[in-house]
Amino acid sequence: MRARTPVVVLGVAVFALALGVLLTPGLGGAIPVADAVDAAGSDYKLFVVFGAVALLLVLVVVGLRAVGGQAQATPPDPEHVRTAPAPGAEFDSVVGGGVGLREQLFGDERERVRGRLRETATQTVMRRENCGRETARERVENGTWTDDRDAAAFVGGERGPSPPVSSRVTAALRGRSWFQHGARRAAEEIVGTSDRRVTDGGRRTEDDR
Amino acid sequence: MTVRRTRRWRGIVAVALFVGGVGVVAARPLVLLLGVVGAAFAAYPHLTATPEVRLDIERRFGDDSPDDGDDVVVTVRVQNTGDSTLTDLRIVDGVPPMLTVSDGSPRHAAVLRPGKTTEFEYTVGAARGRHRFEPATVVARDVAGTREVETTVDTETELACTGTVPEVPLRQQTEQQSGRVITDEGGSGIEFHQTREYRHGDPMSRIDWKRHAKTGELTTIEFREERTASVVLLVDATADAYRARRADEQNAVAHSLAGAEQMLTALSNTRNFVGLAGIGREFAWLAPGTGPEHGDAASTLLATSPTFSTIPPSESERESGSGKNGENEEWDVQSQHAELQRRLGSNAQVVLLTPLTSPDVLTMALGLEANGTRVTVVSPDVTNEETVGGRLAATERENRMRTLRESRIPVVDWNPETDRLGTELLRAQEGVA
Repeated sequence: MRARTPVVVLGVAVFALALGVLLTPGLGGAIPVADAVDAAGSDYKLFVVFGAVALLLVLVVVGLRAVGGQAQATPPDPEHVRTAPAPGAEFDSVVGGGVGLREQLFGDERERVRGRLRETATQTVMRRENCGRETARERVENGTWTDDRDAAAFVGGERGPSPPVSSRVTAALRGRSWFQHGARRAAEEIVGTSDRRVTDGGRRTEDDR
Repeated sequence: MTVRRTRRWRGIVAVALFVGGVGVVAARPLVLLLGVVGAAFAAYPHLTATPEVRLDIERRFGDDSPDDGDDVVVTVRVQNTGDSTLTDLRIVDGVPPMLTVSDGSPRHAAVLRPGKTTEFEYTVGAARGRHRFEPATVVARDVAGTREVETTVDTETELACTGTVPEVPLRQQTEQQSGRVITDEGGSGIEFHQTREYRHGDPMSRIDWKRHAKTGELTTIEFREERTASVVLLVDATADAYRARRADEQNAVAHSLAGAEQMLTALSNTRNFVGLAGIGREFAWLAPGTGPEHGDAASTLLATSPTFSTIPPSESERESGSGKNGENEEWDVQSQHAELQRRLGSNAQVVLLTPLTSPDVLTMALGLEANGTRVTVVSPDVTNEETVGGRLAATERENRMRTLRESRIPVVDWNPETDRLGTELLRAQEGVA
C-alpha cells in the first residue's frame, strides 16, 4: 500500500490540474501545449506516446498477475480422522522404496533396520525355544535359527552364513537391492518363526493378537 | 487473525490501460472513454474496508451421550456480534481430530447482518473417548473480495462417548488408609486370612471362641487387610505411539486416552487415590488424589494438556522426537521417565497405557517395576497384518508383552476395535493379585 501512495498522489494531482484547466481557461494557456505539438510534429504524435506507455504498462500488469496470482486462505480439512502411520510403516517404506542415496552413503538407517531385525529375531527365538538371551543371540549370529539362508545371512554376524550369490542375482533381477531383499526375507522369517511357535503352543490363537 | 489482500482485481488495471491505450493510439475518443469504466473498477477495491469479525459460536448435539459408532448430528449456530454486515463469511467447523464426518458438511457460507445468526448441521460418527472440538476457522471477505480476514472462533464443546469399566485390576501396593484393595497382610477386614496365636492386646471380637471352647487355646483370626491404593494412570503419547491400524481409524494415543478416561471414572468411584501422568510432547502430571475437584482437575488436564493431544506429531515434530541421541528435551522418554520416578511416591502404582510400539517405553516399564513401583500395562493393539512391516511390528509387540510378563508385569492385551476395555480388564483381574 505504501508503495502506491506516490502514484495515488500523482494521479490526484493530475486530476486536479485537469479540473483546473476546465474551470479556469487562463490556467490552460499557461501550459505550453502548442510548443510541445510543434516539437512532436503533430498532435497525434504527441498523444500516441501516452497510448504506447499505457499499452506497455498493460504488459507489466499482466506479467505481475501471472507471477503473483491470487492470495487466499486455505481452509483446513476437518472431515476425516487425522491420519497416523500404521505400526511398521517405516519398515515397509525402507524395504519397498529403499533408502535415499545420501542416506545410503552417510546414514545409519540400514544399520538401524538390521539391528532392529537382529534384536527381534533374538527375542523371537528366545520365545520359541524358551531359551536364554545368550543362546538365542548365538543362534541368530551363526544363522542356525532358520532354514532360510537369505534371512540367516541378513541378520547373522561375521560368523554367520554369507548370502548366496543366486539370491543377490534374483534380487537384482527384481530391481531390488540385496538389502531390501534380505530385510524382507528376514522379517518374513521372524514372523513365520513367531507364528510357528504360536501353533506349537496352541495356547494363543489368531484372535488373541 | 490474518488479514490478507486477495489481489483478485489485479487484472482490471490492465483492462483499463489497454482500452485507454488503444483509444489513444487509434484516436477514438469513445474507446478512450470506455477506459473510464475499467478505471472505476480498478478504484473500487480500494474503497471497501476490512471486515470486522466478531462472532459467537454455539454447538448442539442430537445425542449428548452417544454409543461407539452412533451418528451424532452437530448443529452449529453462528451469531454476528459485531456492528457491521459480514458480506462474505465462510466457516469451517473444527471437527475433533479423531471423528469422521459421515453426512453433511462442516463447511458453511453466509451473509450475516449485525445481530443475526446462521445455522448449519452435519453428522459425525461417534468414537469412544472425549472429543474436544477445535476452534472453527472463519474466513470473511469485504464486499469487493479484496481484503480477507482469516481467524478462528472458539467455544468449549466436548462430545463424550465414554464407556464404563467395572473395575481396574490393581496390584498390591497400597497406602496405609483402609480401602478396598485386599492385601496379603493380616488384620481387620472381611476375607479370612489366617489364624495365629493370641497376642496380648488383640481385640476380643477377633478371638476364635469356638476353638477356645473346644481346645482351650486362645487364637486370633486374621482377615485380609483392605487398603486404599494410589494409582497413577500413565499414558504413552510418545511419537511412536501415534500409530493407527488404518488411515481412517483412531490412533493408539486416542484409544489410550479413552481407556484412561474410563479407568479414571472407575477409580474415582472407589476410595482409591488416582493420579494422571503422560509422557510425550512434554511431561504431564497430576498427583494422586480423590474427590470431585480432583476429578475435574484430571478431566481438565486430559482435555487441555498438549501431551494428551490426539493429533499426531507433524513431520518436523516427529524428526526432533526421534532424534537418535534424545538430545531434544521434549519427547525425550528418558528424562520424562526420571521425572516420573521422582514424583511417584513410594506407595503409588502405575497403570501404563501404551501400544508397545517403542522399546523405550518397554524399558521405562521395566525400570519402574525394578525400582519398586508396581506396574500394570494396558496395551491397545493397533497392529495390522497386511504388510510385512505390520506383521513384524506385531511380532515385536508380542515379544515386548512376553518380556513384561516375564518380569511379572501384568499385561492387558486390548483390541480396541472388537473388545470393550471393561471386559478385558475383568479378564485380567483374575490374573492380577
